Amino acid sequence: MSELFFRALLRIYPAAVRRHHGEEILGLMWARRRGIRGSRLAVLWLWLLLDTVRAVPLAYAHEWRRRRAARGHPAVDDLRQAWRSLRRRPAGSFAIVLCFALGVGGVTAASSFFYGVLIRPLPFHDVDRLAVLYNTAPGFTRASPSYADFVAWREQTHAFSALAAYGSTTATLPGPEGPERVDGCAVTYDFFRVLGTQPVLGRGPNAHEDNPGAPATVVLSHALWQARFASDPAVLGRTIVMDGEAYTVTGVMPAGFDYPAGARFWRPMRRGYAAGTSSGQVGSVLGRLAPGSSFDLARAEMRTIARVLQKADPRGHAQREIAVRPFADDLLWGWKGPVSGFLLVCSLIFLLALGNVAHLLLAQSTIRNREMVLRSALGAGRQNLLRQLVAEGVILAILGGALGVGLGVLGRNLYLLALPVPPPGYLDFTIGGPLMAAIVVGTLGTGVVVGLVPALDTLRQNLLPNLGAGHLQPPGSRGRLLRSVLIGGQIGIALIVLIGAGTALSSAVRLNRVSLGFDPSDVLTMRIALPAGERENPEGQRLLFDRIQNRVAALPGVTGSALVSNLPVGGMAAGTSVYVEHTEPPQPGHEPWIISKAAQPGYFGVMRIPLLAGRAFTTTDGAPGEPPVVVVNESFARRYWPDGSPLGKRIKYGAAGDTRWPWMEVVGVVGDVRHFGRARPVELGIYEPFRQEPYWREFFTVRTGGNPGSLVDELRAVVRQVSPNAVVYDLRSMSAVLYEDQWQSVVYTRILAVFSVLGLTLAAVGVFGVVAFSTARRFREFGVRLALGAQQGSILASAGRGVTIPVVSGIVGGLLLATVLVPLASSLFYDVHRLDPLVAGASAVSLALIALVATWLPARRALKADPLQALRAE
Amino acid sequence: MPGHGSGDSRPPTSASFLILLALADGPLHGLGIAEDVARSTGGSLGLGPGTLYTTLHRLLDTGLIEESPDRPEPDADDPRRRYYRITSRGRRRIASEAASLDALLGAVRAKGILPSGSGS
Repeated sequence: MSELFFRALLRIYPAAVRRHHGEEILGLMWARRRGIRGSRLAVLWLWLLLDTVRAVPLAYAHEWRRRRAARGHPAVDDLRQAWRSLRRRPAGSFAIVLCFALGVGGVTAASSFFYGVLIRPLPFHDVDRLAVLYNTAPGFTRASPSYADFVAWREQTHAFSALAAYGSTTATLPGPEGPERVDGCAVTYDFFRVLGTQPVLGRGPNAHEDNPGAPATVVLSHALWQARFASDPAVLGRTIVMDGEAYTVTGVMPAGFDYPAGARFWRPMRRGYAAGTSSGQVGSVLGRLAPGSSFDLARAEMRTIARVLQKADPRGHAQREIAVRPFADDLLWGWKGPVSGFLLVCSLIFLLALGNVAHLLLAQSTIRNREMVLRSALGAGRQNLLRQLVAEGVILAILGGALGVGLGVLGRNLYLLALPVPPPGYLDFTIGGPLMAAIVVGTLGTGVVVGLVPALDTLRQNLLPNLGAGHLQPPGSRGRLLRSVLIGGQIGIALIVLIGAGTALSSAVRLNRVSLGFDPSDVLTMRIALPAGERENPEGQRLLFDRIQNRVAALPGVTGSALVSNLPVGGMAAGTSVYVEHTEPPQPGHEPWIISKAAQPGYFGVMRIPLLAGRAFTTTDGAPGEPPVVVVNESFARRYWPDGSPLGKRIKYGAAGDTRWPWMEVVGVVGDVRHFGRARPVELGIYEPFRQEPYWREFFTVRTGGNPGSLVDELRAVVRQVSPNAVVYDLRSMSAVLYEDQWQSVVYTRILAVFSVLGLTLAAVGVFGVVAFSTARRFREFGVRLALGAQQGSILASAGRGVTIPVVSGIVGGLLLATVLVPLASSLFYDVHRLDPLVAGASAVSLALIALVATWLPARRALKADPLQALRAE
Repeated sequence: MPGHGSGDSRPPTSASFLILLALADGPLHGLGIAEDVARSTGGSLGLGPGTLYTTLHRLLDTGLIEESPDRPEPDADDPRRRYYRITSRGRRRIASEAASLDALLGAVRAKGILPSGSGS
C-alpha cells in the first residue's frame, strides 16, 4: 500500500529528478515509514504529500530554466553540437575559416570601394540634376570657356536654374609657423546655390561681390576655420590676409564639404578674372537643371547658344560646341572602372575560396561518414544530421566572415594609406549599415549553401551499409561529379584571375618601356609664392628668381636648375594654337592644338630632354630688344617641316592674319615629352624663353648629383635668405610628381599582382587537396594493384585521370570567358584590346603545371608506401 | 509527523542553506543530511524527502555541491547510497547567506525584540 502511494508521489516529480534521485527519495520515504503504524501512518502520508506539493513547483521551475538555458531552441542546440564537432577537428576547421576569411576580406574591401563610388549617393543636394558644362572643338575634347562666354551662357539659359563657374587657386596665408600656401577656389556667386550646400555659418558670396571693385570676401572651409580661428563662431566679419590682401570672412562651410577636392577657402571670382590670366578661361562650369528641364533639353539649348555665339564671333567660336555632362559621371570618372574591376576580381577570389571550403567540407564529410552512420544508427534522423552539417557551415561562415571583415577593413585602410593623394572628401568608403547587412547576409547564406553541399553528398549515400566499411570507401559517382565540377570551376576562375593579372602586368611593362622623354631621377621641384609687393613687378620678380637660382646653383650637389611654367608631367598644360609661316592657314576651328611652355636656359639639361638640332636658350633670349625665339619639339618639327630643317623658320600665336603676336624664330628642336603620361600620345609642343613670356606660374626645377631629399632644407633656407616672406610649397622630387600623376596604374598593377598570387595559391591548394584526398582514399586499391604487379606508371596515370578532364575543361572554360572579359575591361589597361595569346598561354600552362604537381605529389606518396602497409590501411 | 510544523514556515531558500550547512563538516548521504538538519534545527525532522532531493538536485545542477567519490569504510557503506559534498562555491554561498542572516539578526536585536548576545 505504502509502496504504491510512494511510487504515485514519485510520478509527480520532474523526470530529471526521478532519474537521478528516484531511488533515494523512495529510500528516505521508507526510512521514515519504518516503525510507524496506525493513525500516525496517515499523518506521515499527509506530511509526504505536503512535502511533495511544496517541493515540486520549484523543481519544475528549475528544470524549465535549465532546459531553456541549455537547449532553449533547436537551432541553438544544433549550433552547440556543430561547435563541439568543429572543435574536434581544429586544423580542418581553421583551414576552412581561413579560406572564408580570405574570400570575405577581399570582397569586403572591394565592395567598400564599389559601394562608395557607385551606390552611395554623393553628398550634394539632388546630385542627379547637377551638370558640368565645357567647350569642345575638333582637336581638343574639353576646354574651359572664357569668362565672357560663361556669362553669355548664364544669361541665355533657361534649362538651368543657375550656372556657376569656378577655378582652382592658391593663396599665401600667414600661419603659426610662417606663411603657408593653401589651396582654394575662385567661384562665381552662384556656386554654393548650384551645389545645394550652404555655409553652416554666415553666407556665401553675393552677386555684387563678383564685381571688380567690390570688397574682398572669403568663405572658409570647416578645417581652415578650426585651424585658424579655433572654431570661433564670431569669425564672421573678421579679416584674413591672403596674398597680402585682407579678405572679410562671410561664411564657414560645413565639415565634410570638400569640393573641389582639397579646397580650404572659396573667394569670389571677379569679373576681371579672365583678363588677369594668360588663358582667359574660368576653369569649370557647373549648372543645376531648372525644374521640369532635363539633360536633353539642356543639351539642345546649349547647341542653340553655341550657334548664337558663333554668329557673333565666327573666328573665336568656330566649331565650338558646348558639352553638358552629368556632374556625378564627371566626378566618378576614373573611379568606376577600377572599383568594378576590383570587385570582379575579389568576387572571383571569393568563389575560389568557397570552392576550397566546399572541398575541405567534402573531404571531412567523407571521413565523418562513420560518425554520421553511428549517429543515425543511434536514432538521429536525417534531418538532424542535415541540420548539424548546415549549422557547421554557418559557424564556419560566421567565424570566417568576422575575420574576413576585419581583414577587409584592414586592407581598405592599407590601400587608402598607400594612395599618394587622399581620396576626395565627397567619396566615402566606410562600411555602413546596408553594406554590412549585405556582407553578413551574403556570408551566412554562403555558409548555409556550402554546408549543404557536403551534407547532401553524405546523406545521399545509403549510410547503414557503410557502418563496417569505415571511412575509406571509394568515392561515389555523384560525389566524384561534384568534385570534378569544383575542380573545373576553380581552375577556370583561377585562370581568369591569372589572365587579368598577366594582362595588367604585361600592359604595365609595355607602358614602362614607353619613354617619357625626360629623366625624373634626382630632380627636385618646388614652387615659390612671392609676397604681394614683390609679385606685382615682373622685372623685380625676375631678378629675385635669378638671385635664388644663382644661390641654388652654388649649393654643393646641385648640377643645374631652371624655372619652367609647367612640369614635364602632371597638372594642367597651357594649350594654344599657332600659325606656321608659309603654310596653308588651317580651317577655322581646325587649328592644331599645341602645348606651350616657358623655360629658362638650362631647363633642358635639368630634365635631360635631348637637344636634337639648333641650340637651347641663352640668358639673353627674351631680353628687351632681342628678337623673339622659340624651341619646338620633335613632333612639331616633323609635322610642319618633314623634309627640311626647322631652324630659322617662323611661327606665331593665333591665326594667320593675327597681328597681336610677333613672329618667333625657331632656334632649336628638342625631344618629345609626354606631358599627359605614358599612356597618351605625344602632343605638339613649343618652348619659349622665360624672359620672353613671363608666365604667372612657375616651377623651380633642380637637378642634383643624387639623393635629392637631402637638399630640401637648404633650398628652403636659400629662398628665406633672398626673400624672407616668400613661401616655398609643392616641394617634391620629380619622381614623386610622376607617381602622383600616374599612381593609379602602379597601384592597380600591384593589387592585381597580389590577388593573382592569392588566386593561384587558392586554386593550387584546392586541386592539391582534392587529388590528395581522392588518392588517399584509393590508397588501399593502389596497394592491391601494386601487389598484383601493376606498373607505377599506370597507377600514376590512374590517379591523374580523375583530374585531367576537370582541369582541361576548367582551362578551356576560363580561356573562353577571358576572351570575352578582356575586351570589356580594356579601358583599365594600356594598349590592350583583346586577349593576348602569350598571356593566355602562359597562364594556362602555369595552371596546368600546378595541377600536375598537385596531382603528382600525393600519388607519389601512395606509390612509395609499402604495398602491405597500404593493404592494411584502414 | 512530529515536529514538522515549524518546517513549513521556513523561507524556501533555507532548505538549501541547511543542506549546505550540513555538508560543511564533510560528505554525507541523503538520510545523513536529513538527520543533521534535524539536529541543527532542534530535533525536528523538517526536511521531507521531496524537499531534500529536489533541493539536492538543484544544488548539484548549480555546482554548489557535487557527488563525493569519498565513501566510508566498506563495512560501514551501503553501495546504494550516494554521498554528496560541498564545493568551494557552496562554501562561499553559505558565508554570504550567513552574513545576510547576521545583518538581519542585528536589525532584530537593535529593535530589542531579541536580547543581544542570546543564542537560539
